Amino acid sequence: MTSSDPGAPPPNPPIPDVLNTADLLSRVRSGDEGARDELFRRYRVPLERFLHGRLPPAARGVLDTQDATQEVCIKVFRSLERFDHRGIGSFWAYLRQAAMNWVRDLAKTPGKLRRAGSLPEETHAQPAGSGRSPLAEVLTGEDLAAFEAAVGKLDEKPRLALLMRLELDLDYKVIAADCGYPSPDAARMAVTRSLERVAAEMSRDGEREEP
Amino acid sequence: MTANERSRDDTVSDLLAAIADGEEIDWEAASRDTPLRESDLRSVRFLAALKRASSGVGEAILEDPTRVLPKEALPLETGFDILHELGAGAHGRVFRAHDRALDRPVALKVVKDGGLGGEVRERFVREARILASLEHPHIVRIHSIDEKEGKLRLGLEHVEGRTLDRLVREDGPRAPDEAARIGIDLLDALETIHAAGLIHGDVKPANVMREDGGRVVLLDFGVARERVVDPEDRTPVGGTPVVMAPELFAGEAPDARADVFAVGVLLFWIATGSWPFHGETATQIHSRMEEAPAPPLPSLLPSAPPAFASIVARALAVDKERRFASAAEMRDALRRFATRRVRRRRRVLAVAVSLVVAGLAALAWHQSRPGPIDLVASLIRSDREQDVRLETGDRVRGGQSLVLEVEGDRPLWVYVFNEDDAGNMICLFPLDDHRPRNPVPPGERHRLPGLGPPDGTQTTWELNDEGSAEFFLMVASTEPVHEVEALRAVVGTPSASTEPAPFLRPDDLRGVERRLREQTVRARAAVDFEGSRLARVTGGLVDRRDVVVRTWALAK
Repeated sequence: MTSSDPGAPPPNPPIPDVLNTADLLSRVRSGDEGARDELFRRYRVPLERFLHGRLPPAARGVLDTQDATQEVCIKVFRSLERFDHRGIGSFWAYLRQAAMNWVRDLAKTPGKLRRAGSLPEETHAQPAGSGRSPLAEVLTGEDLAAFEAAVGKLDEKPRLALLMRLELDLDYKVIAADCGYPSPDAARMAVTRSLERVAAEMSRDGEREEP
Repeated sequence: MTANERSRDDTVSDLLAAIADGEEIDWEAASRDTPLRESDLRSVRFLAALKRASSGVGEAILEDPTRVLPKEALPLETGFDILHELGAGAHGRVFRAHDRALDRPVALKVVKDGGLGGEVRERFVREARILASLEHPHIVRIHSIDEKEGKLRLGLEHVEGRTLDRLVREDGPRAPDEAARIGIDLLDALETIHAAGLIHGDVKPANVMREDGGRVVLLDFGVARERVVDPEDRTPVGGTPVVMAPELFAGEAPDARADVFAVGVLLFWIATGSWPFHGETATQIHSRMEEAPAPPLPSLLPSAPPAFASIVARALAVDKERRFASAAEMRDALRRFATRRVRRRRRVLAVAVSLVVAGLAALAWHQSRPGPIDLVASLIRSDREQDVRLETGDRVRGGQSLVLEVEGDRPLWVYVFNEDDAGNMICLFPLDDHRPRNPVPPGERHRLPGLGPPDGTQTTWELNDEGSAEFFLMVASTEPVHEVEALRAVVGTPSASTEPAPFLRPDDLRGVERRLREQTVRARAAVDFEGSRLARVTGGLVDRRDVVVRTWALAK
C-alpha cells in the first residue's frame, strides 16, 4: 500500500472496466498467481465458447472443451512475459490465436485431448451456460476460415474493436476506452464498418466457391 | 451500381448494424422486401450467429476485481524470489528464497525438471502433509505447498545453520556431551513423529540442522511412512543405506526401532567422524552388520564416557529386540547421562579452587586487553520509570527485571550465562523461541533475551529475592564458540530446562518464577565474579582475539 500525497492533484480516475484486465496482466507477469487464476476465471467462458465452435464435433463435450480451455490458458500464461498485452482487446486476440493454434495442433496430435472420442457422441454436453449452440447450426470449417481470413485483413484497431463486440459482447464504451476511440459512437461506427468489410469479404469468398 | 444492388447493400448494412447493436433480426422480413444473394445471406447469418453465441460472455471480464480480490489484497505480491541454491537431492533442489507475501525467508524445495513422475509427486505431497500434521520445535515447519508450471514446490521454514554432516566435516567430531544434547532433541522430535503413527525413515547427519542458536531441527520427510504397515508389505524402503537398520535390508517393515538405530548411527558418527557400519554399497553395509556388531565407541574415542558409549551401543544393536524400544526410552537414557555429567562437573568445579584462581588471572588479562570486535554490552535494570546501567558491585533486589543491551559492528554469536551463589548455572541467551537468535545482527541495539512468545513482545530476566549474589557472563564472537556451546548444551536454558531454573526467567513464565522463589540459596559474604564457577569457563577463551567476554557480579 502506498500513501497518497495530500498536495498532489487528484489523478484522473481510471476506467476500471478497461484497466482491470491490464492490471491483472501486469500482475500475472510479475508472478502473481492469484491474478493468474482471476484472469483465467474471467476469460474462461468466452474461450470455452470460442473453442466449442472450433473443436472437432467428436471433441465438443463439456469436459473436452474445459480441458482444451485450460490447456490453452496454461500455454498462454507461460508465454505471457514475452508479450506486451495492453488490454482486453489485445489479450483476447492473443488468447483466441493461441486457441486456434491449439485446435490446429489437435488435428496433428492424436490423443492430445484425452477425452476426445472416448465418450459416445450423445453424452457430449454443451459447455455450461451455452444452451443449444447457435454456432453449431451455421458454423462450418469454410465459414470459419473465411471469417478469419476477412478479419485478418482489417487493421489492428478496428479488428480488436470488432472482436470485442462480436465475440466478447462488450459495449461500445468499453471498446472505445480499450481501443482508443474518442467516443462510444466512434467505436460503434468502427465496429459496423469492420463488420461490413468482413461480410463483403466473406460474400466474395462465398461467390468464388459457388459453382 | 443498380438500384437493386444499392437496395441490397443497404439491407445488408442495416442487418449488420443490427447485428453489431445486438438487435433481434426478422430474417423473413429482411429477405421479403429485398431478396439477398445467397452468399450475402450466408455471411450475415454467420456473423449474427457469432454475435448471438457471445451473448453475455463479457460480463465476467468486466467484473469489479474487488469482488473477487479484496482491495486490501491488491498490492499483495505473492510467489517467491529465489536467492540461491542450498542443496540438491535425487529428485529435488532446495533454494533459499523469500516469500513475498509473508515477507520472510523460506527454504523452497522444488522437484527437478521432468522428475514429476507419479511416485515422486506422491512423495512430495506426502512429505508436505506429514509436516503439516506435526508441530514440534525440532521438526522443520512447512509454510506452503503449491505447483507452478508443473513443478511442485514446498515452502519450508528456513533454518539458518549447518547440517550435522557439514558441522562435523568442517569442525570435526563433537564432544559426547554435545552429541547427547543433539540426540535428546532429535529423539524428542522422533517421539512426536512416532506418536503420530509415522516413521521418519531417513534420520542421518545431512537431514539434521543445527541452527546457529543451537536448536536442532529434523528435515526431509520424503521417505517417511506409516508406522502401522502390512507385515507382508515388501515395498522397498527408501532412505540411506548407512543409517538403515539391519532388518530393513531383509525387507522388514520399519518401526520406531529403525529410527532409534539411525539415531545411534548418527551419534556414533558425530562423536567419532566414522560410520559404525561402512561399505561402498548397500550390500557391503548389510554384510558388515551381519558379520559383527558395531565397534565399541571407546575403540575410536577412548575418552568416550562409558554411559554414553553404552547408550550408543544399545541403539546400534543388530537385533532390534535388544535396542531401545522407543525414541522416548533412548531420549530418557541420554538425559540421565547428561544430568549426571552436569552434577559431576559441578563437583569437579567445587574442588578446583586452584584452577579457578588460574582462570581468573587469565580472565583478568583477557578483559584488560581491547578486543578486535567493536561491541557495546550493558547489563541494564529495566524498571518502568527508567533504565539503570549496572556495574559489578551494584545492588539489585528480587522482582527487578534485567536485560542485556548489545550492539556489535558485525554479526555476533552471543551467549549469556548466569550463576547464582548456590552454584547453579543456566544459559540465558540464546533462547530457541526468542528473537534475535545467533548471530545477533549488527548495527542495531538489541535488548536480550529479546522478543519472545506468545506475542513477540520484549521479555526480560526477572530476579527473585533469594540469595545474596548473582553472576553474569557474556561471551560474544564472530563465530560459534564451541566450548561455550558445549556448556550451553549441558546447563540448559530457562525454556528448555527440565529442572527449575535457578533464578531467572522470561517474565511471562509465572510457573517457573514460583519454583524459583521456593529455592533456598545460601548466603555469600563477597560479591566477586572471580569467585564464581563461571569464571573458569572463560579460561579457554583468553587467547582468542575473536572473542569478547564481559562479566558482572551483583549484590542482593
